[in-house]
Amino acid sequence: MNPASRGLSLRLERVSVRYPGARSRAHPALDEVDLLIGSGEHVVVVGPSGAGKTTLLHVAAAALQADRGRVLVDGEEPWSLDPRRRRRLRGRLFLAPQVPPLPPRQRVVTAALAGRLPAMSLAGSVRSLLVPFDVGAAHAALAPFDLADRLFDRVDRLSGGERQRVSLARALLAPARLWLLDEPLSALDPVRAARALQVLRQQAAQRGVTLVVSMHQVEMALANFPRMIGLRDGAVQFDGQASDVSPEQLQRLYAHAEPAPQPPELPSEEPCEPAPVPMVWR
Amino acid sequence: MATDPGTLISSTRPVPERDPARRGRAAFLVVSLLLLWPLLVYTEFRPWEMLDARSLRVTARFLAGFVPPALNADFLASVARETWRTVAIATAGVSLALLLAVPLALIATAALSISSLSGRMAVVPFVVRQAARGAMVALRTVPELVWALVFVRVVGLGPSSGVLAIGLTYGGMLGKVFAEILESCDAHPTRTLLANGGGRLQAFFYGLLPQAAPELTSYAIYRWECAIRSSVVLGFVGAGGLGQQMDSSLKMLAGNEVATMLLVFIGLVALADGVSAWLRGLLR
Repeated sequence: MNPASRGLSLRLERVSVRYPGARSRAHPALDEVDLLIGSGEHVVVVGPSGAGKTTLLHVAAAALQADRGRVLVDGEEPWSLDPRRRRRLRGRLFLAPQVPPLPPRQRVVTAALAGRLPAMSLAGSVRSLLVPFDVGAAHAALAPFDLADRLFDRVDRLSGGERQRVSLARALLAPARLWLLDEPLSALDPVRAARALQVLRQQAAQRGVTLVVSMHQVEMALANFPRMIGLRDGAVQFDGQASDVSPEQLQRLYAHAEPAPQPPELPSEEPCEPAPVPMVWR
Repeated sequence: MATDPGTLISSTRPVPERDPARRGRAAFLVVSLLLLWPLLVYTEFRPWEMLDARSLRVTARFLAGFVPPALNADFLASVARETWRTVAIATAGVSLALLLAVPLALIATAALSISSLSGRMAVVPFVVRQAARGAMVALRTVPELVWALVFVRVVGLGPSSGVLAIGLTYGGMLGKVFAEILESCDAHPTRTLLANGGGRLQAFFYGLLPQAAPELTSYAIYRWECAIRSSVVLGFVGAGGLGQQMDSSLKMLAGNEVATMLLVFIGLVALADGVSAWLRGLLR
């Protein structure tokens, strides 16, 4: 495999993040995290809500700057690059936030093709707003997520689960070599979730893309990923082969934390209800 | 994972007795009223004086001159000509304003800041945004009437000074409100595009525009409506259009001519309103 098409590696050295305005006695969102994820690896991150999974993915995506420690994406420190090169690095990774980032009035085809933007010129992307530049590619990316027939529907006609799958289909169109997916299955029913995960893993393996996924469905995570990282209170509790993770370790990971315990979300969420996508509307 | 639902409810705090925001809100209301009263006294706001017998007589005499509206063919033809000129002034003025406002709004809006993705905006982008804001403040602070008086001296009497005056002042207003409309959109799609390596303008076209298009359109059309009205005032200082005609009719105390022109204005504003509603419907 040539170097341009290999997956990006990720290295975190004693990375700490504390959000401004967080209570001072609360745990930092990330607390001295050390992590090494090799090129092309598939890793799942589990842990209770508030454990720091989202923060970890945002730090890895160069969307959030760590307060302390070093982050290396493909051997480069995003925050010591000049803005132009940092932007190019961001174009080589793909972050799918948990809430699908789709404007409600956009069509599905446009929303999916937005994943290709980092590889497109401004003129090309504006032209694509009027006439989608590659309907075939959008169709090919949406089809494995059972959305091929929604190609020209508007995003606000989709259910929450469908929106989440559109946001995942973006990954297949993005020119990225590292996929960071934040709870990509949170709005999907168990069958769809299993299928989406299978597609994502298959596609990542085929392309040699490095894949980091956070999720709450521990059973599914154990069954599908070779490596599992347990995160709690901003610190890595365990990190190793999924087959070595013991039930006791998981029990401890999810045991009720101090001040505000929150249960892990179970995979049995509503299948395709249009409800759970929050939208700011005036 | 097995979780016993019984252990999830651990809060023993009592139900709060009152809304903690209540006192602050009440205080705000009282202070606002206390501040408003001296302002009304200071501005000699005494609306009941309008209703005494003398004022009513004067008003009635003035308004009686307005009926019936003037409808003779010559006058209507010249009204039609000046109406067309007014529409042209407003349209050209707002087009010029948009040429100024769109780039300024895109520069000024914090919604497209890449550096503020992680915490605070960097210094240079902050300064540039403030400069764009400052330019828009300067543009819209000078009233279009003052711009028109300036341009009447530079380019002479006629519609072009009206166009320039509207273009500059409205450029500042449109730019400010456009920037704020963009900032009040849901930032999530835009920020994700920026975090994934998209450019600012790409993020604008794919993240903000689909959300903000109806608002931006209806505000631009509302400004066009304002420009129609504003061109009347500008006409009074010689910037052409219906306003100039109305000025001469008022000076000749021809109330019925004024009435005709006012009716035309009502029609134009209603037209703008209808176009705005229609376009919003299209973009919904």
